[in-house]
Amino acid sequence: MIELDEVCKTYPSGENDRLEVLRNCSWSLKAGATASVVGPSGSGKSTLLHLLGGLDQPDAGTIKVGEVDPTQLKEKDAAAFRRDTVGFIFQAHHLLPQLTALENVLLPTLAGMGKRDLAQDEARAHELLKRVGLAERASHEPGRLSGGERQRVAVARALMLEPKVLLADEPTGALDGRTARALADLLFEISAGNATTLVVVTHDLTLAGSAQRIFRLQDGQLVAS
Amino acid sequence: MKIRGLIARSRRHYRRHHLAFAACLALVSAVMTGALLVGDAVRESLAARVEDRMGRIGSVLMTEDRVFEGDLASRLQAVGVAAPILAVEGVVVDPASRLEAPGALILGVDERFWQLSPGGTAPVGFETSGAFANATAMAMLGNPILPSEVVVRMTKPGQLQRDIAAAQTSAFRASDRVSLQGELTRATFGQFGLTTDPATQPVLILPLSRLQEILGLSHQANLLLTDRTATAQWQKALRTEWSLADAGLKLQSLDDGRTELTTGAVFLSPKILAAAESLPFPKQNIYGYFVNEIQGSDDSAPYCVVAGLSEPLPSPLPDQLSPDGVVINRWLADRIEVAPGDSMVWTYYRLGERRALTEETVTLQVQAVVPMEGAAADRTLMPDFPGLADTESCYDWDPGLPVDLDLIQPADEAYWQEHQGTPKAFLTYATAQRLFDNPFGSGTAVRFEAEPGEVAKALRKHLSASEVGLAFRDVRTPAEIATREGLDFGQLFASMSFFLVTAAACLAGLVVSLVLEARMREVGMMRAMGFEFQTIRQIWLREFGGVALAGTVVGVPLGVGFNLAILAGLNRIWQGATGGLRVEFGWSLVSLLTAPLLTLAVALLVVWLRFQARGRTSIISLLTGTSPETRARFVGWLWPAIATIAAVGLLLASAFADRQLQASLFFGAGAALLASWLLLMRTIWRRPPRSGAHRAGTLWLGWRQARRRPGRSLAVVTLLALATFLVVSVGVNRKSPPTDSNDRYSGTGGFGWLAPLSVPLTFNPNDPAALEEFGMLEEEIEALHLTGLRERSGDDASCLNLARAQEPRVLGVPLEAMKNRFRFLDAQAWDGWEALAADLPGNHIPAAVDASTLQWGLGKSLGDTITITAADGLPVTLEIVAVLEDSIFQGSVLISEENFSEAFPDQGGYRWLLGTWMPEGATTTRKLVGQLFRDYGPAIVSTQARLAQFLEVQNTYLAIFEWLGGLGLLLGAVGLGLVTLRNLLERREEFWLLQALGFPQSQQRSLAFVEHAILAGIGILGGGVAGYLPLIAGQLSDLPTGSPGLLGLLLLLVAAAASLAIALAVKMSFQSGGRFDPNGS
Repeated sequence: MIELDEVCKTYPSGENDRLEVLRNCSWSLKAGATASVVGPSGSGKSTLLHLLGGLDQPDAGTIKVGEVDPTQLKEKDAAAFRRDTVGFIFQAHHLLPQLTALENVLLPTLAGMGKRDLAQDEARAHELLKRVGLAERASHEPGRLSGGERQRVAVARALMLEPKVLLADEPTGALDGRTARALADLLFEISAGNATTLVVVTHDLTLAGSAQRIFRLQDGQLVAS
Repeated sequence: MKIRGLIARSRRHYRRHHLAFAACLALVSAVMTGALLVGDAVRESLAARVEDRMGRIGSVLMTEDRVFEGDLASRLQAVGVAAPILAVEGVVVDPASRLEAPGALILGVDERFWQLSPGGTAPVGFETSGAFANATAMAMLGNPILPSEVVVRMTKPGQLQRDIAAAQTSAFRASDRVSLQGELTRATFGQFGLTTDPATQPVLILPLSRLQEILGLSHQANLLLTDRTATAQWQKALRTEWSLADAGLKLQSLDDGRTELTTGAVFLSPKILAAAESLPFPKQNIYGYFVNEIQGSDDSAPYCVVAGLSEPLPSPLPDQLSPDGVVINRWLADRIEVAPGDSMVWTYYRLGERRALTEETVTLQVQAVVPMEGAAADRTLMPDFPGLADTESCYDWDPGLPVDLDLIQPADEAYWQEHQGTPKAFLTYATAQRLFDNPFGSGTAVRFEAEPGEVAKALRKHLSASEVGLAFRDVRTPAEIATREGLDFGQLFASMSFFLVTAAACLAGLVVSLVLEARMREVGMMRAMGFEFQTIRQIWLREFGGVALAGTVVGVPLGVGFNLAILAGLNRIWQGATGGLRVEFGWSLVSLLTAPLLTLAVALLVVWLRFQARGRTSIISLLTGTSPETRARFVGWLWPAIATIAAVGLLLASAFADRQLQASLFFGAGAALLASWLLLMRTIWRRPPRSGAHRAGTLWLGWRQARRRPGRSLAVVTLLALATFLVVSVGVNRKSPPTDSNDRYSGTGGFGWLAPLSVPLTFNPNDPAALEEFGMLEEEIEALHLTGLRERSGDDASCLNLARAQEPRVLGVPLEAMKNRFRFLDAQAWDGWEALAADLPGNHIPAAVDASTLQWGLGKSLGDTITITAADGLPVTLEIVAVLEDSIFQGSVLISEENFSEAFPDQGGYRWLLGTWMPEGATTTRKLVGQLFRDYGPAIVSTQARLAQFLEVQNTYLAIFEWLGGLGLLLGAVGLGLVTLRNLLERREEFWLLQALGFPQSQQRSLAFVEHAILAGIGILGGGVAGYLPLIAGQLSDLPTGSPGLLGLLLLLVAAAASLAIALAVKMSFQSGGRFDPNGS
């Protein structure tokens, strides 16, 4: 499902230097599998995720998610790719403060231009909130939710359009231990239930251990751990 | 959920930001609406003034100094309402208070005049009571208690031209007492006038019959006012309805059965003679004249009437005469003892323009002596010389020509008693023309062998009404065009409100930026979710568009309020800008819609641009809330140095420049100084930090923060500095009149005073001999240095008149007296006055115009032409060949006196006097001039005061600009607060770090305040110093400037406002009891 082939990525560092975060990185992950990526700070974990989600461009190499190379897409197609194929979960929940929990979950449905069945969407959103344990908080705005609850809404939102790939960047980074574990369990459970390919970038080794495969990003290379 | 639901939620959640955005747009919309409405107000007020002045008047037929038959109005009544009027200028005096209303328009009217008034009816009691005066006249007379008797001294029109020396000057003046009964109201032509001039002339209206009685002009008028029926229709009717009497022509049957054509103007004009010549009847031309002396060999006869006759000469005169041959009657032959073959010397006056008299002599030969019978005894050959004809005795003579009655001998008196004006000598018509021809005509009568009716009919076929000076002119349409084409106050105020509008627009943009920065993560997340960029942009445009619409619409009523405030300012403190026009509220749909639509468009554009600039950055930077880093490049010290040198250079150059250029050079030096300041800041902030350059303290930290984003810091500083500089320095462009009115090259031309005359002078004040004859002493003539100007009245084209002048006032100036006076900015000859004497192709008349008049009053340039309609309805083309520097002649077009006489022969006399102050001072001068020219109603004004009046307009505009600019500056200070807020929000993690490091809250706030106060200080200080440079330099050079003290106060206010805005922004940025919340929004 996911393939990286000799991918390189560097960032400017100082006046004339460049920092190489991915160096001829090749990697693959089967559809429906779960993987966690660990590594020291600044090793390029988030960069890898961004490349997989089409949020960034490699300096060299190719990436394939399904049959699509997200780095070669024009903006309109890239948006469609992110909409239909990928679901993002970030460390910061990035919920829209002006929308309720239910509305935040429904937000991805507004991204496309096509007509949608509003009732069906709403039913699914309720279902997702129920799955993440927030059925009774559907009408609450993010300001009235705890950090963990907000992150769970973000998970529900990421799943709204049934993505094939779920990319989670430090999803529990801002949460306390118990909440983080609960969220991690939820994440893997849902992923397994939907046969969604899950890639989690994390410092949390417990979370990392929940994945089927663990990779370490080291010297610009992904190495199975 | 639908997108509109998202939009509604976002508006509600971010309502504070949206309120701020809407408020800024409301302000922009309000200011622009208010400014544009000023244009509507001025236009409508000018139009209302035309209505008040002209009522229902559409066209006029004006003969000014000449008169026509009053029943012409009745003959034209099939077309519409036509009112016959006697209109003269004069001075009204209240003998009780001795107050005067000079330059008054005195009208004699009947009931038809009142039908044309705004109210349509006469004032109560008009016909039976007496005179009514308008408010201007009443005020000048000190608002006397009514009824009140006043003395009116006025011009007297007639058939004779004012310039002809053949008539006494008293023939053109009259005075009498009238009973002033009431005051004219707006409905009863209280604002009467036929021009768009800013000032309302004092007006006195009395019954037509009364004025005719005073002037001795029964059944005559010199002005016809009509209703608004098309001028072409009036003109068409005039072509058939005018009579010879309207043109001052008279046909009478003679005893010999012939019909004689004569004119009340004594001499027949070339047009009349040409028409007479073309008639199919046998005719004889006659030229009667008055010769001072006919000298024989031993004796002479004074004051003889002679006659030139066209051949064949009637009996007993010989059929033909030689060119120098003369036939004298027996009486003359005996009187001066001459016989055929003897020579005689004739001495006579040749009449010239402006009452000039040139004594000439000619030697003629006696060809024959005839008895006094037949044609030789025809006393009707003598023309109606005023003061001569119809007198019973020589000693009753009172002509305009100088006569010494002591020369009259008993024999001469006896001849007059018996024969009256029977000519004593006869010559050929051609010889008479050669000897006596003058600018007023050629020949005094034509005799036809036909009936008067036949002659009249034939003459009218060969003459048009316009050829005899009768033509209708549309006064309504040009006045309405003038009000429409006048200075666009809407645009003027919009441009003067530029700073205010820009500041408010920048504020709006800042608010959008602030909101965008705060919601960047939202945009990033939506893009990460798969929203296309265009979709998110559309959502934002809809969200902000609705708010913008609300804001701009709210701005419209606010704009009306702002407009009312401006109008109050124009009517109270800024009256100099409107020439005294009372500006009432006016509006148009265009003005009400333009501002909000424009504001809305700009607002959407701002949102679009800001979103485009920021929203397109990488999704990652949007999600992490970082801005793209731009590395600032060090630019070196060269440009600041160049700008500094330029400033010094311009200052040095100003020491050698004339005053006109000095103001510009000071301003340029200030601008260069400002540029060097800004370039210096740019260089310093982009300079690489020096290692080891560590300092301690809030001030140093704040200074270092400015380097962080040098582009943004420089933008803030530049905006404040530029605004401050412009508002402060614009004062250097104020103007004041020259301190020394004796400076011949200044705008006063070396004249200390000028005086428009209510009654034109009929003698030439430019001729010392004429002044002596008038009664002035030699030392008075020497001290006053009088110069007289002719005037053809027209629109005031000065900056005091807000309406566009259609036919400006024309002044005829004596070029010799004007030499080495005033200063020309440009001319088509080496000397501007020389250019007025040039011969131009196409019969164009060279003209000079004041620079301000040319640009603002007429909207023309050097080389352009102006068309004036002469009395005969034909166009006179003036070509601008010279441009005067700001002068006392603003509002008028100047041509040479020679060209004036030729182009406007019907405009006799001198209507302006210019002179110098006597050594004894202004009071003595005013008293003397007032006494000498009492009958002519001089209204003496100092030339400096007149110039100051014109300059006041420009200075008022500058003052308004300073006020509005100051408001803009204050708003800019508020904008600085928003920038501060934005900066601090961007760096909230930084302050969180400081908090974590143990910086106390007070120090954090100080740091935030100082950092931005430094930027404000740099901007205001730089702009203020650079702005003060031209101001101080101007004061040191005696140029008029604004008040440094007041401007300093303004700067202090701005600094205070900026400090307050920054302090508020700092306060808002620190939340939750003064701690930064890194997760806060």
